[in-house]
This record gives sequence, C-alpha cells and structure tokens, in this order.
Amino acid sequence: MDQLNHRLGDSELKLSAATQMGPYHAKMGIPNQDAYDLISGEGFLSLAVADGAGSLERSDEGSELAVEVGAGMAADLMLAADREGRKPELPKILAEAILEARSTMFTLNHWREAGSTLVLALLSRDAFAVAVLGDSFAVIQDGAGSLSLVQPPSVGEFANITKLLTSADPTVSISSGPLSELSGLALCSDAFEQPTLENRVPTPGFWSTVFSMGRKGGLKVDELISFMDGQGKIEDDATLIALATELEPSAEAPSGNIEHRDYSLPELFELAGVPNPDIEPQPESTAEAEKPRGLPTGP
Amino acid sequence: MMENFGDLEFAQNSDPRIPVVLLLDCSDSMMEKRPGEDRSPFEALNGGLDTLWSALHSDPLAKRRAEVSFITFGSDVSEPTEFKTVDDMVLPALQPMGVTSLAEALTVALDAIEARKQTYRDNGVQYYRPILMAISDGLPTSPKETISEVSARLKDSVERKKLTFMPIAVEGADVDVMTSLSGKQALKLQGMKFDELFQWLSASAAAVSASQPGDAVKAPAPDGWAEL
Repeated sequence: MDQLNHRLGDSELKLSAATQMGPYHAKMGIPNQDAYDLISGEGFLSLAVADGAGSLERSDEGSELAVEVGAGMAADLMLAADREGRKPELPKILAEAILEARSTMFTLNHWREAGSTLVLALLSRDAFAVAVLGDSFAVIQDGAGSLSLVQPPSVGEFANITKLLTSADPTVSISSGPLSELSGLALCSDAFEQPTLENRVPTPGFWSTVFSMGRKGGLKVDELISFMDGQGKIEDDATLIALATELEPSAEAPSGNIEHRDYSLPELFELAGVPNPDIEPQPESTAEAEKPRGLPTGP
Repeated sequence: MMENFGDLEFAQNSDPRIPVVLLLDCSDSMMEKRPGEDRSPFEALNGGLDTLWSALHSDPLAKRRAEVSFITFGSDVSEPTEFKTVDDMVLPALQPMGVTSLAEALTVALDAIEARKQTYRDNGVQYYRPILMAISDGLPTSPKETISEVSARLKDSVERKKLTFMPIAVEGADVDVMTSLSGKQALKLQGMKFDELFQWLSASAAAVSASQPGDAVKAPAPDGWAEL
C-alpha cells in the first residue's frame, strides 16, 4: 500500500494506492495478476495500473512489466522535457509510454501468455492526462464535481472480452486538461466496474465520497478494498490508485476544459510522433500508397 | 483507525450471465443397460443432473451467473425449459421418447440461445459466451437436409467463437458422426460417469463466471470422465 502527499504547482495532492488478490485467485492458488506503479518527481507524478488477462499463464509478469515500463517511460520523458526547458505535452508522452510498454512486451519470448491492460496517468505543475487501454478504467472528477469515465468502448459481444496491450488493434482513450480543473482522479482495474459503474457512468455515491475522503487525508485504499471484499463487492484482483487535489467541487470552480478522445493504434503512433513499424515509408521514386508490410503489391 | 466506509453507495448492477443449454438424448436406446454397467444411461443421467445442481449451488459465482435450460429429445424435441439459475432451476423429469432427432434438437437449442441473448440485450444484462452441451448415445435419425443445415450453423458459431459447444458421446454413439456436426471433437463418456461429467460442466461454468479479460477461458481438463 502507498500513501503519498505531493505538491504540484499550487496544488497539494493526496494519494493512496493498493492492490489485493481476488477471492477466486486466492482459492485457486493463482497469483495476483494486477500491478501498479507510481513515480513522483520534482514537478510531476507518473501513475500506472495494469490488469493481467486471467486466462493467460504469465499475465502477472505482463502487468508488472507494463506498469514498470509505462510509468518509467512517462517519468523519463517528463525529466527530459524539464532538462531541455520544454513544456511537456502530456497526451503525447502517454502515447509514447504506452507504445514503449507494448513494444517491450513483444520482446518477451512468452508475450502471448503475458497480455494485460494498462492505465497511465501523468500530472505536471499545471496539467494532467490519463490514457486507458483495455477494460481497466479511470474516473475523473472536475471542479464542478462532475464525474467522467475514461475507458475505450466495449469490444465484442461477451462480458469477459477486451483488448490487451499485445492485441493487434487496441483502442486507447485519452483524457487531458488543466490541473486547476482536476478535483479527483482514480485509476482502477476492472474489479471496480461492477460495484462502481452503471452503464459506463461512475456512481456518484461511491466516487464523490472516495475523492472527498481522499481530500480530507483519511482515505486508505487497502482498507477500502478490504471493506468492499467484506461486502462481497470484489470478486477479482483489485487495484486502485485514488488521488484528490485541494479543489473542493463547487459550481464556481473552473471546469469545462477537460478533453476526451479515442485513438486507434495508427493514431496513437501519430500522436506519439514515432514511426509505425507496420507502415512502410512511401518510396521516393513512385507514387505507391503506404501499405502495411507484407501485403502483396497488387496484380 | 479504519475509515468509516458506511457512507459509500454502490452501483446496482445485475450479475453478468452465462447461458447454458443441456441437450439430453432421451431415445429408447438410453434405457438399455450396457454390458458391465449396473445402471442404464438414463438412470445415470438422472443422477448426474442432481450432481449438476449441487455443483452449481456450491460455487458462489456460478450459483448467481449460470442460467441453465434443458431440452430433451427423442422422436420429438421438447420445449426448452426457461433459463434459470440454480436456486430457481427445476430439473426435468426424463422420459423415453423414441428415436434420435439430434439435428432438430440442436436447431431448437441454437434458437433458444439466440433468444436468450436478445433478452439479455433488451434488459442491459452482460453475458458470457454461451455453453451448449449435447449428450447422445445414437446416430441421428434426422433428415440429411436438417443435419446439413444445423451443422453449418454450428460450425459457423464454433469457428466465430460465438458459442462453446460440448458434444458428448455416450457408449454406443458414433463419435465421428457427432464430431462431424460441428468440427469440434466429441468426447466419449467413460462408462456411466455422468456425475463426473456434470461436475466438470459446473467447473467450466464457474471458470467462465470468474473469468478475466482475454480471448479464451481455460476450462478444466476433462479428466476422470472422458476417454481421451
């Protein structure tokens, strides 16, 4: 469990994070397949949560690697921007971090057995961004107290199907905005979906209360998860990073400038500003259109 | 000091459901005891259904999430029983029913599954990939066209992972014919081990009920009841 107070700009942030193995995994002797990481530095906070696919044998390793690389890459890019005197572009940094985590997974011999989801969040002195791949999710509370979900659209027909970091065509949802409009932020694995979301809408009676507790400094996420487990609300490995700023929600507080967008994989590469290895560069001497590597050139 | 979490309000969501259809051969040949067995397949099947009920009841997630419908068939095909979780489930009273209209029964089962999924969608209930278990001891006596039609539907559903199909061949059945219906290898039941079969089915449903994101659920191995 982690408890952290961290100052960013004019804001004092209070954070609590924990992970707990689910009752089914405990019964079956399966390790906790969730992981989280948090890196705090001068002028930034880098957070990550990942949920390994339950059907894959080494997904606990996958989730550990995903959070380590994701949070670490985001932190490195923030430090680089600071050294170079550049204003960091947080959505771009998160896109690079997700792609780095993805490419690192593919270097594993057993990558097919190590798939996981990934949620990354990055906070700077004046901005924040959060990116979600898979069916883990994030909840944002803005200055007006409104709650919004950050999670890609549902995939396919069945309840237990999602895209993973190693899927061929994942969608990544990214939300970003000024830190001055952030009141609360949570990153969670999908154990929290059934008890705290209804039709993809965060339940105010849960999330507003959790953020309020966090703001007052009394929230211990490990105790929260234990409480939910005791109430029979947790059936799976559960991981939560909950963060509150000093901004008390009110009608007068600044709001309305948080943006949301979904990115396909090619769009994520474009956002990150790194080459997409699946696209061949256009030859200089022909007008041949870009095409994925390996496809025939035509009749 | 533990924070007081009593003020928290939780979302009111239905559990996701896993629809399970059991297709039970009640042809006359199921009444006949096999050499070396003290029970007929019919008697063992009846006992096995009690085991299914107990096994589902003992798993907290499967108890809430698995909804089972029974279809019996012989010369005719019964109306499917309503999809019910174990607490509301009424086990069917099995009766001998003539020959083996397996293809017609599979058609009824596939239609019942589609209707159930639509009901879930209409009511905003999430669901897992349905399970269809077909248990038979004989060659289908269905017309060739009917076999061909339902086989095409089954193959499509299995290939597109719309369905988990479990063909089970009881002693006397032609395993190859049952396999050819969907392309999914039929498993031959060892003797009259229906108890073990239904415990495995319950464990499979429980594994799905507790499953995590991913494209496949690793079901328990069919040890102890299938001839592999």
